[in-house]
Amino acid sequence: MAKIKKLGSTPNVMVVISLTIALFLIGMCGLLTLNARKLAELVKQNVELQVYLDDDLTTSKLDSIYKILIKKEFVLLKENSPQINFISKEVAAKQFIEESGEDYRRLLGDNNPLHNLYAVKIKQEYFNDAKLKEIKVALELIPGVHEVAYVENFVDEVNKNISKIYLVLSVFVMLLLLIIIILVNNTIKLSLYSQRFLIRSMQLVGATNGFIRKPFIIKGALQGLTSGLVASSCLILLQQLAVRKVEGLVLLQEMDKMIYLLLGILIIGTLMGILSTFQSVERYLRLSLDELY
Amino acid sequence: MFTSEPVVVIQSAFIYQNERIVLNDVNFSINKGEFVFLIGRTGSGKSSLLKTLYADLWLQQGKAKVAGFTIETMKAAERPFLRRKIGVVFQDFQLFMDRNVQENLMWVLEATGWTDSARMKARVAEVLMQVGMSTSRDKMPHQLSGGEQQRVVIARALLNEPQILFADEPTGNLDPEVSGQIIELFHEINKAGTAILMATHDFDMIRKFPARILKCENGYVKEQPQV
Repeated sequence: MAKIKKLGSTPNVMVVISLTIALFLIGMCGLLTLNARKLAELVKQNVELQVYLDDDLTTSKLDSIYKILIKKEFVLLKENSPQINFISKEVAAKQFIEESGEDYRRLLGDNNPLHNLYAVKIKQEYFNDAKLKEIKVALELIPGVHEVAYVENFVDEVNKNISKIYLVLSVFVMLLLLIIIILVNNTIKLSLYSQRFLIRSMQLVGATNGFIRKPFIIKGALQGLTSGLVASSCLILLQQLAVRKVEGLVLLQEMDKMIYLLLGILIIGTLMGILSTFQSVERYLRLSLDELY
Repeated sequence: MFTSEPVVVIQSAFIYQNERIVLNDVNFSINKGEFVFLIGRTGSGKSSLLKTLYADLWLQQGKAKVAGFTIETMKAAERPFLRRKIGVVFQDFQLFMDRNVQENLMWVLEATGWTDSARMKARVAEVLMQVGMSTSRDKMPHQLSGGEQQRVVIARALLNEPQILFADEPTGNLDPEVSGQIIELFHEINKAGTAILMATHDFDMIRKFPARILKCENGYVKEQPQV
């Protein structure tokens, strides 16, 4: 005996698989965006202003400059302590020799050309070239400050690249959404095709369109929700795997945002299921008998 | 309140199939409790006329009133309420294959606003008795013969005590013996007070059960003398 078609039945597996794949890809984009955002945040937090000091400053003078600096709005606070490090010219020279591999002492003898400096980390909101320039000018007015330096253009480059990543990912997500709508619509449309005369029979016995739609919509919502759950589980698995395999990735994880992302996927899945089914059923509800044949 | 107003009145109506006029200047009325055959060759416009009367085809020109509903100005949202006052039976009319006879009929009652489960069950038993299918209440549609399925379809059409049944070739898929039984059933329903408009080209039936005849021919609907 042929399998009996249940009212409102659609090829579950096909719809759920298509929706799951699409939702998973959307989730991946979401994860990438979250990680990119966090990465940018970390990069920005590690940007330092180097406040070079005049030579031969007394300890009290160094202290007074430090006190001026910690009062500045733009200084990044971590657990309430300002992120300012003093690097003496000797330490700086050692670092320079280690990093560049060149020993200036062969040319200049013991005459250290470097300056003592304060490395100042800055808050994210001051992270653009215009604001950094203002800060530089202001700090250079402090007596005892020789020069203020930062990696110019780096800041704007990071900002620009982050915007580009967001743009590319959002276009990709939009395309994916469009593909899901078309894919799911077609799958549901095909499955409803075999039930078009049942839909017609329901109309002719006096059922309202809302009553006819109900079982189909419930089914669509459940399929969407199931796909969302499967896609979310896959994403969690993928994320956990990536964190274990890729060193340092754990720094980019933000649990609260990840939960919002997964909730978003469940909501998108359910909505897609409902909207696609609604649209397909609506089509058959509007057709006349001749058009159905 | 009792009124003698006809169940169907159609005046100066032009019946269209897509862009093409299939019937011109249609005028007739059907009174309560009347049995009317609608005859004519295939493509003569019988089905289009019926579809217009149960608001499946838009009446673009002319006037029609069915069971108190004005057809030419009817909005899509009003159609279900017209269809609760009439019954529609045609050969491709499907039953839900995933539920038994009683559940099929219960679904219709639920869909048309019934809520009291005991009253619904009583009504289902009543119509099944009327069509001689009382013993098949728990059977699945695939366990029924074509004639029996058609009886269930008729029972379904009777659930809301329609003022009129529109039947489009209701015996088209049945053998002559079963067809005879189905037509007989329609006559019994008619005797109980329900008007019937039946499209058919089964002349044996028309001879066997004489009734008023409307004929679709050359783009017009004409009264035909009884056989």
